[in-house]
Amino acid sequence: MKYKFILSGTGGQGAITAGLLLGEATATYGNLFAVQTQSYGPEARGGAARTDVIISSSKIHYPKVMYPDVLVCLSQEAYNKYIKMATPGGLVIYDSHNVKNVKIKDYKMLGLDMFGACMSEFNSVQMINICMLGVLSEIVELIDPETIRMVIRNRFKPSLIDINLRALDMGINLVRELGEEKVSKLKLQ
Amino acid sequence: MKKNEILFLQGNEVCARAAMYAGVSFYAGYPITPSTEIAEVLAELMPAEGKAFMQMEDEISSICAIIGASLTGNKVMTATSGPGFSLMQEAIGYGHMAEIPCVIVNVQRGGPSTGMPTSASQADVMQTRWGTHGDHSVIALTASNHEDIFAMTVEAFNFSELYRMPVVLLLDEVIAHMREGLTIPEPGELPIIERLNTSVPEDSDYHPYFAREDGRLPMSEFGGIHRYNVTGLAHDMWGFPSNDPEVANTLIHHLVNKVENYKHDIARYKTTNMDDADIVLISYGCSARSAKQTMSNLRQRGLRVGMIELQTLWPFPDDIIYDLCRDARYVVVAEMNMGQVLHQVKEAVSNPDRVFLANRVDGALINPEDIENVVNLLRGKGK
Repeated sequence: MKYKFILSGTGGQGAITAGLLLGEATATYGNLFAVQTQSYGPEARGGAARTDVIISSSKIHYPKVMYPDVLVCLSQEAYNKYIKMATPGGLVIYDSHNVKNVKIKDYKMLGLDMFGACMSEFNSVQMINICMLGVLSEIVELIDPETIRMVIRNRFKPSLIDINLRALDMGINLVRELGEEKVSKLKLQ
Repeated sequence: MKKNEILFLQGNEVCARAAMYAGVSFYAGYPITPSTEIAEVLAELMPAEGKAFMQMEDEISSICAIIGASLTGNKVMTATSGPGFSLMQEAIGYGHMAEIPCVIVNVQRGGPSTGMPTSASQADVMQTRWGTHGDHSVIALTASNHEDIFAMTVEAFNFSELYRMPVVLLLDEVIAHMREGLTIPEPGELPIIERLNTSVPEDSDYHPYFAREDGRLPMSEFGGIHRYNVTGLAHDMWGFPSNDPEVANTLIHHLVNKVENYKHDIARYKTTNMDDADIVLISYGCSARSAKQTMSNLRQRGLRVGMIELQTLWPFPDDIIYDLCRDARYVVVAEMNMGQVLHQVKEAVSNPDRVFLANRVDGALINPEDIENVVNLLRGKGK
C-alpha cells in the first residue's frame, strides 16, 4: 500500500510543516515508510510552496511525487500553480474559502472551508495546516490520527499542544459532517 | 533519544550525526546550499560536547583549517557544494601530498560555476577524481538513502584515517534535503577506525613519512613531542623537500598504490536481481532511487533487469563491474550528468558498445520513466 501526496499553499500557511509532521507521524509512530521532499530556493520564496510526501507499507525508492493520489491546495495561488499535477482519478482537496476559481475535470474534488472553521473556532488561521492533516487522516486510512497527535505532543511547545489537537479534530469532523455516503466515495483504503 | 527510535531526518542531518558518531572533533566550514544543514546541525552538536566548530570566511580557509587541525590530532570534516569544492582543490592536493586525514563532504548542485544552487546534479564525479593537479589516487563515496549516508560518512572517516588522506563524500541535493526515517546505530554497531599514533618516544627520531610494514604511516600530533616538517613539495621520510628522482618516484607510486592496491577493500556496492539479469542498470546517489523503481517496474513486466548501486565511486571498481556485466545484453548507466560514470563503465566492461546513458541535467531528479524510456529504446520499443 502506497499513497502519494502533494501539499501546497502560500508561504506561511504551513503546508510544508504539515508535510514534515505527516512524514514524522507515519515514519516514527506509524510503523510505515515515509519520504518527504519540498521545494527550495526561488520556487519556495514568496508565492506558492509545496511538499511531496509518500507513505507506504514497503520501502520507497523514487522520492518525488509525479502522480499524486491526493493534491491539497490551501490557497488560490497554490491551486493555480499545482492543479496541473492532479492525476485523473485522484483526489483534489482545496480550501473552499481561499480557492474560488475551481475547474472540475476528471479528478475528484473536495472543497472544505478549513479557513472559516479555524476563524470561528480560534479567530486565527494559523492552525489551518493541522486542520488539513485532520482531513487527510479521515480520508486516507493509512494515516492514523493518533500518530499525528503523538507528533503534535512531541514537537510543539506545551502552550500550543491543546489548540493544535483541537484543530486536528476539527479537520476530522469537517469530513465526518459530509455524511457517510459522500465520505465513503472519497476514502482511500 | 530512545533506543531504536526512528527519527525523521534530512540527509544532511544524518551526515552530521554520523560525523559525530565517527568522532569528528573539529569542523570548519562556510555555509553553501545545499550543504548548509550539515554545518547548522554540527554547530549545535559539537560545542555541546566540547568540540570545536568554526565558521570560516570562505572555503579555502575552511579546508586549510581542517588540514591544520587534523595534524594536531583531530578527526576533521568540512562540507560544501560545487563552487566551494572548486575553491578547495589546491588544499585538497596539499592534503594528498602531505597525507593528512580529512573528510570533505560535497553536496552536489547544478554547475558549472554557481550554477543552480537549489537543483539536483551529480556532475562533480570527475572533479572529485582530477580536481587537483598531479598524480595521486582518491577515495570518494556516495549514498542514496539515510542508512547509507550514515554508514558512508563513518566509512569516509575510517578510510581517511586508515589510508591517511582526504576522503570525499559525494552527496546530492535530493538526498541531502529529503527526509526519511532512520534508526541511529548504537555506539559500537559500526566499526570506527581511530588515528594511528606513533609509538616513537620523545627525543627519538620520528619519521612522519616512513611507512610501517602494513603501509600505514603513524602520526604524531603536530606541536607535540616531535619536531617534523610538513610540506606540499615532494619530500623524503623526514618530510623535508627533495628533488631526488628516486625519492620522487617512490613518493608518487606510494600516493597511487596506497589506494589502488586496496581497491577491493574500499569497494562498496550493492547488487539486486543480478542472478538472471540481461539488462543491468548501474547507478548511485539520488539516481539509484529512480533506477531501483525502474527495475521493479520492468521486473513486473517480466523483463530480466538487475541493478548495481555504487557507493564507492573512486577508486572505480572496474573489475567488479567487468565481472557483473559480462553476461549483460545492455548496460544502462543512470546519472545526473553528461556521462561521467558512463565513461568509467565503458572502460571497465568487455563490450563498451553495449553501455548506454540515461541522464538528466536540467536540475530535476531523473525519474523512473526517464530510465525506462532508454531501456525501451534499446529493446526497439521506444517512442
